[in-house]
Amino acid sequence: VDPALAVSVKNRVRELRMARGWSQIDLAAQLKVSRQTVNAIENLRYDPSLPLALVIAKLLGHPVEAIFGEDL
Amino acid sequence: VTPIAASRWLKLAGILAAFAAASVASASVLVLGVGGPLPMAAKVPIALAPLLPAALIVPWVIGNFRLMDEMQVRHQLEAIVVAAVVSAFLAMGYALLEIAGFPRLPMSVVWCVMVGLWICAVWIQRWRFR
Repeated sequence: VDPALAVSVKNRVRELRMARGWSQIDLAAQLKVSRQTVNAIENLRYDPSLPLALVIAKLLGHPVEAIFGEDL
Repeated sequence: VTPIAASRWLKLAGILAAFAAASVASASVLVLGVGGPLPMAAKVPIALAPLLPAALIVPWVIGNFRLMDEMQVRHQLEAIVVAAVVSAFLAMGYALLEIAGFPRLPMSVVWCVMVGLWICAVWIQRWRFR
């Protein structure tokens, strides 16, 4: 990616997960990923693929652009 | 440990036990001479016989990859790259030392070093993302 176009992706996964009273393990089980993956996504250490981001958005009940983006 | 993980490790144990049994049987015939002297045409398939159970490792490893999520697969691939590059560097370094008089090592040592590095790299990734 051209450095001029590079973006730093932030997300609201932790906030929305906690609003539902789910643990990282609960969300990981629904996504069929490891708890470490959920933790890495929440801590901005791993950007999920588009299909996984769409599943996260569906589970958390928000459009994907409301959960993942540059200006959150 | 989940039931799926337990059954997969049990399967690996079975494959390794079959490999060990085939290796012992093969070595008994070739090294200890059990059954008397053999022509070379018979020695080759007996020497390679342990590869048959060992080949089952391939679907086992691929199956393990398919059970992983996308971040775990990425970590595994990064670990394999690190292991391949570092073991290549070590192998080239030792080849230069052999010219200086160090003893020759069997080719299989490179593979053992690579697997060891792969395991270390995976554990480092797991520790970083625990």
